[in-house]
Amino acid sequence: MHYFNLPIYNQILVFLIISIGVWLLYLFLRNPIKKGLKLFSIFIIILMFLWVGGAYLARLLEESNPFLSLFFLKLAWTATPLLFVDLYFFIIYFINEEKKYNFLSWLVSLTGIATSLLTATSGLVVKNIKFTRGSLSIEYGKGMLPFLGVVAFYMLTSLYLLFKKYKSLEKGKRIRIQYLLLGISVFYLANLIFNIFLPLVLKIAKFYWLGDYSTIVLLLFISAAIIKHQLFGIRIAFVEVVIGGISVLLFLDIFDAESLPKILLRILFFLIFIFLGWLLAESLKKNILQQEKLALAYKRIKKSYKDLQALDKAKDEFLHIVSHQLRTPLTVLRGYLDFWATGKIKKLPKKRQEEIKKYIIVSADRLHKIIKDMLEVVDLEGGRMVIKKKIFNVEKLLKDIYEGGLEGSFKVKGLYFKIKKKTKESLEIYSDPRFLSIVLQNLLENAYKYTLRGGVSVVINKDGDFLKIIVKDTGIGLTLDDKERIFGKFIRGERAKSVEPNGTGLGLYATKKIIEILGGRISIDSEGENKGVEATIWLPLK
Amino acid sequence: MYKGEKIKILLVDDENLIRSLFSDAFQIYGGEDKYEIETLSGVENFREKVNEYKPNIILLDLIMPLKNTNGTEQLSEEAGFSLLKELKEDSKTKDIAVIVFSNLGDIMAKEKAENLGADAYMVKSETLPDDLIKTIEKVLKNRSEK
Repeated sequence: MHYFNLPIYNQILVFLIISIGVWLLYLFLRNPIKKGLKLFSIFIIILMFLWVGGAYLARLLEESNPFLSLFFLKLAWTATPLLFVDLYFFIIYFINEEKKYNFLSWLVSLTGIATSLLTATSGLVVKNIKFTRGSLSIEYGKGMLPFLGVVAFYMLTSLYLLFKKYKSLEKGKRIRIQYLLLGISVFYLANLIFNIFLPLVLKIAKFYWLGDYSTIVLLLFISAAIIKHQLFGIRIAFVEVVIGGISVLLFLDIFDAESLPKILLRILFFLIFIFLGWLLAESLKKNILQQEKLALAYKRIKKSYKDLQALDKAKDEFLHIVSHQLRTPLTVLRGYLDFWATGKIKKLPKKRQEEIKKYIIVSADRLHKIIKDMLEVVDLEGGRMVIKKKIFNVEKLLKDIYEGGLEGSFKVKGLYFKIKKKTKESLEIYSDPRFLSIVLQNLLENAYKYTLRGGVSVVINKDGDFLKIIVKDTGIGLTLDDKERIFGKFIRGERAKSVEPNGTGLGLYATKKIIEILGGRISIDSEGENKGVEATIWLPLK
Repeated sequence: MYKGEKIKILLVDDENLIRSLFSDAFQIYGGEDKYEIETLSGVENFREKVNEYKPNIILLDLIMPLKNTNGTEQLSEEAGFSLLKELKEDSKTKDIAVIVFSNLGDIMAKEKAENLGADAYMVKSETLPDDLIKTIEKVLKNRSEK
């Protein structure tokens, strides 16, 4: 064989690229990757084999078989537009926008197939090959410029779509797209310089392989972007590539042997190497996986330590405030009861004595409410309330809560209560009805307590994967200051204190906690004093 | 003792009913002839009130709403401690008698209040109106004997 008329590094590079390609093919097949993405990544590798292999074989065979050489060259050029089309599809699948660009996708596919077919069957792009001073140069046809135009169109479109997506993402979510952008940019740039600018403009063709072989850079970045084991991926990958590359060389070396004993010896050598290489790669994998597990465990321990510290602090704070909250009504009760017991109360006017009786009842009620709310919060924070999810209808739950205890109070105060369903779908969700009823009860009671006229409406709607429930009242509203701190423990709105002295400031705190346990979130809004309050909760449907 | 003169008391407490209870207590124990009482529901306007009203004695709660640096409010004993510190650091107000009247029952809080210059420390839920009146009289008597 006469393949030594190509530089030795070129041969090593081709072997290396082919082995990396095979390894990536194996990785793509073995790893869980989105269906379309998997198909297009595999095609990228196959097309890369055709391109790199075709161009390599064309140069390998240039003197011995010019006809076959032209065939391989055309094969490489035929694969090129298809590779760029494939890359376009890979990108729109990667950014999950495959359904968005229907027209563009059709345009890209049709022009790509047409360009490929024309390249393969006519001399429009590659007309002939000739040899000058032992190196191959290509005689291009009239279709070369349109061909480059089409490829440039694919390049720019793909880059634009990818960059657009990249800009629209938050910083933390950009990392995978960053890999892809980087790989594609290197690949495109290398192609522009070594396959277009140098050969066509400056007539320097000898660096063509840098453009062709830059596909491997692209492939490595693609695999980094789509395969999730990023941490240990690169180290194991390196070992696997080296072992794979040497294996391919050893395998080819078998065919170069002159006698049977030598062939057998080389086969044996090849098999031993494969076996030892496999052992090495496996042990390394185990080692690195263990390291990863340790690092993960360490991270978790560190986090739980921090959580525990925070919990401890929160508990201290909680006890501190609870003791304060309990002592206030107790002081009032003891003081006033002492006036009564000692007869000193008689020194106060009759009217005042009547007011004081009310204060005593209010203080006893407040003590009772604090203890009840506190036990609820203690149960929540101690994790004693275990979620038991089942499917139930939210509208029915709301009606049950209203009819089961609030209806009378609403009527006495002359307030309306409305439920508006804004979706035609059923309002069934998979959640914990006991937890949700505490939440809705708290929100409805709040709305009722702080509304003096008008009423309360509940709007239920779907919002993506969430059920959105808005409880809106026409009550005393919140100040801007209230809004910022309303979810804190023992925090109450400024005017809430005068309208309802029995509040503990624990209700919304517990409500928020429960909603978070159920995987949802809550926001409270008010346009200001006397403009009502709008509480919105989002609960996952499943 | 403040013979013939009214005792001017400033009660600083964020709780409505506590302010009511002790206003009633002063009414019962001496009436308007003996005590003059003004109240304040938080840390705001404290200095202005003290300068304008010139009380003989201040009954100071500790745990009251306090603005955090981020603008949110939080209940904290630092609210009361900071008022006490401010009062005792100012030569014009450092001679006003202060009884810290708090829900905090721990020794640390008591020590801190006394170190900052409080004349007495009382735990609200352990104090009947009678005890408070007696303590006020004792504190004022000590002062006048000095």
